[in-house]
Amino acid sequence: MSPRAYSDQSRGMPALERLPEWTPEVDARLARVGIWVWIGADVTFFAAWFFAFFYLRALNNNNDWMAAGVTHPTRAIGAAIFLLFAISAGLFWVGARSVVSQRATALIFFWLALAAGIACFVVQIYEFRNLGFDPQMGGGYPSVFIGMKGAWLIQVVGSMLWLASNIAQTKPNGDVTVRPASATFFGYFLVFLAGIGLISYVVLYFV
Amino acid sequence: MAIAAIGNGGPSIQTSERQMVLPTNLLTGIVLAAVGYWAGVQLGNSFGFNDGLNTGVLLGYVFASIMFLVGLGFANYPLARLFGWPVAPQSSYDEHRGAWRYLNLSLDHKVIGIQYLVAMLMAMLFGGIGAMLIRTSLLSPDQAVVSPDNYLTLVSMHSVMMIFVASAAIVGPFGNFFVPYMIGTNRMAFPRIEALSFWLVPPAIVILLASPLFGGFPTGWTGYAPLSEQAGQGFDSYIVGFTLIGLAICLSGVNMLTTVMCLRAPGMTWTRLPIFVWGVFSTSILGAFAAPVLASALSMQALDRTINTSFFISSNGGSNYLWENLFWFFGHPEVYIFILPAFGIVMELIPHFARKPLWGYRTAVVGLLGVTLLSWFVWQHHLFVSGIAPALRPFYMLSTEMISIPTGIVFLVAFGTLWRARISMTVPMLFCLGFLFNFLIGGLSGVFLSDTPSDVTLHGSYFSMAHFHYTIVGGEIFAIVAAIYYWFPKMTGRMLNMTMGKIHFWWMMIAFNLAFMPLFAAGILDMPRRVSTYLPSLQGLNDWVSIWAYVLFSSMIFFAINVIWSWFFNTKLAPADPWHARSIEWELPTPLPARNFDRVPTFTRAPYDYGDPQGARPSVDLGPEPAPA
Repeated sequence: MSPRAYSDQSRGMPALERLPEWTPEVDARLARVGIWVWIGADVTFFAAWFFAFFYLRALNNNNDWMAAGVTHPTRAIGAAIFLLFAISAGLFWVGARSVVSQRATALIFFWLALAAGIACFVVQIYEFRNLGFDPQMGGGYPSVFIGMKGAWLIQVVGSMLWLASNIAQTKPNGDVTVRPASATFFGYFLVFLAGIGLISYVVLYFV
Repeated sequence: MAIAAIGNGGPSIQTSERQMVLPTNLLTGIVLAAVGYWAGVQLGNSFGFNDGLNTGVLLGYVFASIMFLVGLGFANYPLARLFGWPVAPQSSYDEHRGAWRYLNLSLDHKVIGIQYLVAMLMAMLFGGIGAMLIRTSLLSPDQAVVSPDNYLTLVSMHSVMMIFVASAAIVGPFGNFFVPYMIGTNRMAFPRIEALSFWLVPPAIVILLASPLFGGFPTGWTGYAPLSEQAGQGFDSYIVGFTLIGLAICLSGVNMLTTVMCLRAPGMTWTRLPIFVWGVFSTSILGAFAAPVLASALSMQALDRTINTSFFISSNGGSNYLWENLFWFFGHPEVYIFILPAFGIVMELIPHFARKPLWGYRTAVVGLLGVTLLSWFVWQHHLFVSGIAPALRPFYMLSTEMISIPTGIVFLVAFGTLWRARISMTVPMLFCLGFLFNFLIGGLSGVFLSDTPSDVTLHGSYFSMAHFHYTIVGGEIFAIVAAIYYWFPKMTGRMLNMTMGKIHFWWMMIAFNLAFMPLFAAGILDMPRRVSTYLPSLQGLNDWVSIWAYVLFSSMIFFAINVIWSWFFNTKLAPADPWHARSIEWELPTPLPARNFDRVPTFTRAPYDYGDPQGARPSVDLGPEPAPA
C-alpha cells in the first residue's frame, strides 16, 4: 500500500513527510540505540549481583561465606547451561541477519535457538533441584548463587518468550519481516545475556 | 507497510491488540488486580516456607501489579505478537476526548504527562498528610499522638511516598509532555514503555498505602538491615512498591535517552537543545543506570525474607553493609534524579522572564553533566557513621565536596542570566527565585554533611533532615510548582489564577522557611531523627515548626484549589503564548492539537535568543500551512 493512499487524512501532505519517524531507517535507529541503553541498564543490574558476590566473599562474615556442607555445584552442568544459552543467542544472531533475504532459513535458526534456550532453562531448573545446598543452610555463597542465577534465568525466560514471538512474526508481512531491525538488535541482547552467563559461570563455579 | 499502517488516524492502540478476551480498561485492571492478589497470596502460602507469610504477601503484590497491567491492556501487544496476529507500529497520538482517556492506557505523551501530573499531585497529598501527622505527634515531647512504632511507620510512609513523588514529578509530567515538542517530534521513542512507566506508579502508591494493614515498617526510606529483616509483612510493601518505582524510573530513563538521541528534528542540534531537555537527559542517565541496582538490592531483600537467603544477615555470612552500599549506590544518584530536572526547569524559565539569552548555555550543560558524572562517586558519604573504612573517608568527602562545583556552575548561569535583566516578576519566576534562595541554603548545609567530622555529629539529627528538606521541598517542589504555573496553560488550555499564585508564593515561601530553618537549630541541639520523643526544652521550637508546617500545608491546599478551579471551572481559554516566550511549545496553538506537528519542524535558532536583533521569530520553521482538506 502506498503511503500516499492516506494523503486525504494527512491534510494534503504525503504521510511519508508527515511522520518520517516511522521510516524503517528511524525504526532501526530507535531499536539500536534503545537496546544499547537497555543493555547498559542491565549491566548495572547484574553488577549489583557481582558486587554482592565479591563483597560477601571478601568479608567472609562469621567464616560463613561457604557454610559447612556447601560446595560448588557441578561445573559440567554449569557449563552446559551457559553453552546452551550461548548457542541459542548465536543461532538467533545468525538467523536475524538473514531474515530479509532468506526468511525460511532464518526461521529454522530461530526455532533451533528457541529449542536451545528451552533446554538451557530445563537444565538450569535441574541444577536448582540438585544443588546439594539450600539457602537455609546459611552462607553468602548459596545466597548469591541462587539470587544471581535466578535473576539471570528470569531474563532468559523473558527472552525466550520474546524469541517465540519473533518466530510467530517471521512470516509474510509479519512484524519481524517488515521491521527486521528489531530482531537484529534483540540478538544483541541475547548475546549480552550469554556474556553474563559466561562471567557468572566463571565466578560462581571457579572463584 | 510500516509507514502506511500508521496513517489511518485511528485510535492509539491497534484493534487487533485491543480486543482479546476481556475489554481492557481501568475497571478490568482493578478487578484482575484483586484476583491476582488473591492468587498470589494462595500460591505463596502454599509453599509453606518458614517466612512469616512474607512470600504470600510479596507474590500477592507482584501478581496484583501484573494483572492490573494486563487488565489495562499491556499484555495485548506481546500476546498479539506471540500469537502471530498482525501488529503494526502504533500511532502515538490519542484522538479520544474526555476524561476517560486519562483513566486508561494511552500512548499519547500528552495524555501520559497529564496522568503523571495528577498522580504525582495525589501522591504529594498523601505524603503531605503524613507530614502533618508527624508534626502533630511532635507537638508534645513525650505524649505522642501515635505510638512509637506507628510513628516510625508514619515517618517511613511519608518519606517513601515523597521519594516516589520526587523521583517522578518532573520527568513524568513535564518531561513526557514537553520533551517531544521541544525536540520537534510527534512521539516518544517507545510509547508503550512510556505508558508502562506511568502505570507502574499507581500500583506502587496503593501497595505502599496498604502497608499499615500489615503492621507498617520501621525502616524509613532507606530500608536498612537488620531492621528490614526483622520487620513484619508491612515491609513487603516497601520492597514491591519501591521495585515498581525503580522499574518506572529505569524504563522512563531508557525511553527518554533514546528519544532525545534519535528523534530530534532537523536543526535541533545538541547545542540548541533546550536546557530543560538537558536536565531531563542527564536525569535519565542516572535513572536508567542507577535504578537497576535498586532492583537487584530489593530482590535480595525479598529472597532474604522468603526463601531465607542471607544477603544482609551478618551472622549467616551476609552483611548489612552490603545493603547500605547497594542502596546508596542507587540512592545518591537518586537525589540528583530529584534535582537535575529542577535545575533544568529553573534555567529554562529564567531566560524567558529575564528576556535574556541563557548566560553560559554550554557551561550549564557541563554543570548538569558534571553533576551526573560525579554523583556516581559520592555514595559512601552516607556510610561515614556506619563504620566505613577510615581510609575511604577522605576520598568520599572530597568527591562529595567537589559536586558543589558543577552545582555552583548552575547557580552561576542562573545569576548570570538575571544580571542586569529586565525581570518580569511573574508567578513562575517568583518560584524560580524562591528555588535559588532555598536550594542555596540546602546546598550550603550539605557541605557540612559531606565533611566527615561535622557529619559524624550531625548525621542522625534534624540538621540532616532540614538539609534535605531544603533541597527537595525548597528546591525541587518549588521548581515543580514553577513549572505547573508556567506550563499549565499549554497542558490544560487554562491559565491558573495569577493573583492567587502570588499569594501562594509568599504564603509557601514564608511558611517553608519558618518551618524548616529552625530545624537546623533543632539538629545542632541534638534532636534525633525518626524518634517520637525529644527533650522538653525543645518543645517551643517544635511547636513553632509544627504550626508553620500546617501553614505550609495549607498553602498547598490553596494551590490545589487554584488548580482545580482553573482547570475545571474557568471557561476562558488560555492564550497560545501568555508569557511571550520563544521556545517551540509556545509557538503552537492552545489547546494543543492531537498531532503535535503536521510536518517535521526545522529549528533555525536556539530557543533563548532574546534581545538579539536578528532573533525575531520564529526560531522554528513549522512549514507552510497545510492545504485545505
